[in-house]
Amino acid sequence: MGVLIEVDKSKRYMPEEGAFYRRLRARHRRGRWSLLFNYFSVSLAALALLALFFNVANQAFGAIGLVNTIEPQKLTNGRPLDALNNNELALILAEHVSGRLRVLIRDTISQVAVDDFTSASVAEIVGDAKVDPALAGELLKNISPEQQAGLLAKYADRGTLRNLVLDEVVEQQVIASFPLVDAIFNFDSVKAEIEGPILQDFRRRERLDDAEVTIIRFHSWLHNEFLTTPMSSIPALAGVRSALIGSIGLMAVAVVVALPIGVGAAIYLEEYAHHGFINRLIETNVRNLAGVPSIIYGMLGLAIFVRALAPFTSGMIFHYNFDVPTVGSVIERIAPAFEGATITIRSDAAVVDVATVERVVDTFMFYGSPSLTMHGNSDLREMSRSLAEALRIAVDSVPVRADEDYDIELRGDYYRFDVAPISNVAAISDDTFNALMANLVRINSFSPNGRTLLSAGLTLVLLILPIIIINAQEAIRAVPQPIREASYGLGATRWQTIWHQVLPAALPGIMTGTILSVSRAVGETAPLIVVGAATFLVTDPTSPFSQFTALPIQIYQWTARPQGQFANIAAAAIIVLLALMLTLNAAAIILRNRYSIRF
Amino acid sequence: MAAVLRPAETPADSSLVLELRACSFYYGAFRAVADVSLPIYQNKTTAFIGPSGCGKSTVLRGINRMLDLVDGARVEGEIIYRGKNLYDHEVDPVEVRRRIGMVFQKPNPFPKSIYDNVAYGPRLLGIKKKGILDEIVERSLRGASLWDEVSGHLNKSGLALSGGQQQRLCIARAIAVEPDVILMDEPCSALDPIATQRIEELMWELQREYTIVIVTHNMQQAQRAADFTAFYNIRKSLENGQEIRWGELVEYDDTSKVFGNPARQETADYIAGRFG
Repeated sequence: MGVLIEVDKSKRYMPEEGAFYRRLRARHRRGRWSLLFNYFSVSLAALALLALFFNVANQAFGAIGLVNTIEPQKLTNGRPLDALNNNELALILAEHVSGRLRVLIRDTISQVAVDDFTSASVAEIVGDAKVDPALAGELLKNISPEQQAGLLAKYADRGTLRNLVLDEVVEQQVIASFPLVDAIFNFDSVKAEIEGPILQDFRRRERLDDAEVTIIRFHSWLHNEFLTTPMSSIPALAGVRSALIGSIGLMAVAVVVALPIGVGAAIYLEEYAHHGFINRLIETNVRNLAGVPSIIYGMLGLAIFVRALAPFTSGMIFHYNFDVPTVGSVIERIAPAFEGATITIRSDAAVVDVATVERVVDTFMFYGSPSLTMHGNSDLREMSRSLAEALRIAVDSVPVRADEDYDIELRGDYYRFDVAPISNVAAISDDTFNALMANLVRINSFSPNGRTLLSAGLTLVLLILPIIIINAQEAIRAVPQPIREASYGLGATRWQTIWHQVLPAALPGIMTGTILSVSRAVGETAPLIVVGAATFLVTDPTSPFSQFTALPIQIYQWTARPQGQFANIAAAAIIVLLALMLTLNAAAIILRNRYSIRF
Repeated sequence: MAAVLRPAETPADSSLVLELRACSFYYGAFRAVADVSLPIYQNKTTAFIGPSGCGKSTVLRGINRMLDLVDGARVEGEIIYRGKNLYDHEVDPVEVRRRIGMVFQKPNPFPKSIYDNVAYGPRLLGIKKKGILDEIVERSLRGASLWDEVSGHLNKSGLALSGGQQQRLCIARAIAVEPDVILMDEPCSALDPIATQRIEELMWELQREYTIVIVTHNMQQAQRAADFTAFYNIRKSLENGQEIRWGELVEYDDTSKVFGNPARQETADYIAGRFG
């Protein structure tokens, strides 16, 4: 290797060997430090993600302790449940859940259609003409609980009766839940705690002095029924169906409205508008809007969609039936909650039929009775007191004293039911009934008044529109100019060029941006709270004009509750939400990879 | 140079298709090309040559109003196409581009099948019948001497072809709408010599049916392919202490005259490769 260029020594600026190697080592050292920092950053991110997954999984799965409300041995004087015969089992039902016997008959042995059930005779219901002639022609509601139990004993098989006793009387409850880590590594102390202080507490609270822990077992709070059942105030029975449908509905509204508007705006800004001052001003503002906190969009949505455009977003101008709260429509909506049930509520809070009270409370809450508020727990005393209070307000035209019992009963069909003191069994007059209903209508503002799925969806449209516009603009800008020129050069109009060349080429980018922004919208909570998402909803949204709730709202509401089990179902709901978002993101990636055009 | 430059002998068999009359081309306030006047004869090939930045592509794009697509671009003067000024306000640029087609420097087939690439133009004009489209596609691909190579796989993406084939596909696409004039903006600059040769041969074929204007940096190509040649050059001047540059048409004549016996010294210098 000879010298390539003869260089004047006095003109050398580059470092000589010693200095060069010294500096080289320093250069490599700096590189190693930055590499170390990069490793650290990546590990931190991975750790955060792991912690999230761990935390959610720890809550969503774990151990639960179950308690029988009434011990089977107590029902049977110590004989095993399996040893009882039909009559004995039916008598237990008559003794403990007399008010639900008709529902049980309807759900097990009835031979008539559900709609005809309340007007069918006993003989028709059991499908046996040779039934006791004293009962055959009677309506089921007019015979005594013992006679109803007799029918069950005669026409249901023993296994069915045994299961009814287990479900309706023994009635297992979850008294404690422990997270996954405790359940795996600390099972003994979990067991000790459930069988010790937690059980004591439960006995005292529920006045069940001899309640025992039946079983402590592993439980996944995320299960099939979790997706298919609506909200309940008992965590173990609660599900996310309404919230899931609500979230999907919101997504649908958001995409259907935001996509055409966003793409239209992007096309205008990129392809039509002159790139002058006004265009720059608009683009800058759109970019700023993308960074506006979501709650501000919530305020905007509240002002515009919920308030100003209420006739539109509540469906009034489409004559949607929510806005004609006739007595008939009120009863039609409330009646299913009362169906087949006789509920007795004493103001001293001895509640006969817990499930029915819950359903009634849920229904009342759905229709927004101001006097009915859940005080953050499912304490039955609280609930029944609230319910009694609500009923008292509703029936203020009926002479009612606080210490009296009431019997609310569905009569004949959905359109009539009675509210009357038990001491005065005679049905109240039609006038009183109508006054009661008028009161209910007045108390329960029936329309969601613009606080609908549509309003919330449109609010999310405002939220994601800037993101969609920016993404669409970038996708359109990325379409190579020669493609446009080729199209124009063949005599295409501007719109033909956009429609046939620019949009197809930009579509994967537009779709990706849209899906990503929608998956952001699905996780939004704040604007939905502001525009009035329901926090407790047992009915699914059936139209854009329905009241709604959404997954993040449900999660937010559950995590705000003090009982541990709500934290468990909140974690399960988080898994559902994450799964929904991952699905959306996967869809975005698949779309991009499958349809992207390489030039 | 106010008067239209005409070649010494006007070819008897050709009529005038286009005539630029004192055209200046502007981007905003910047005058890119000043005062161009020249005729373009039917079924002849006219080459625009000149150093980079002299504005020959700008003039070409001005002819079919592709310049309209550039914000702030405008043309002063008249471009007369068969008796009509293309820049009259009642003239629709869409119609201009359909009559005066264009082939670009870099092959730019649409990301569609070969068939759809060629059928795109006719479809824009409302032709929907499959039979007619099939005929147009075959005729155009034959016209661009591409048919033999692609007839078996018309559904293949146009982007899957080689560079030279892509450029011929673009030519097929351009002739599918039966234009009157085809503008070619350095059509061979992105191609290898063999593909270039095929395009040049194709231009000879096309010349029988179409009028061609070609911008080229390749002197030999201009000499081989063009009947007439226009030489543009860059002018500079100082204005308020700042140097401004613009392009001007220096010489326009028969190709043999321009290359064999140029009227201007700068033309001779450029052709001899002394600058540019």
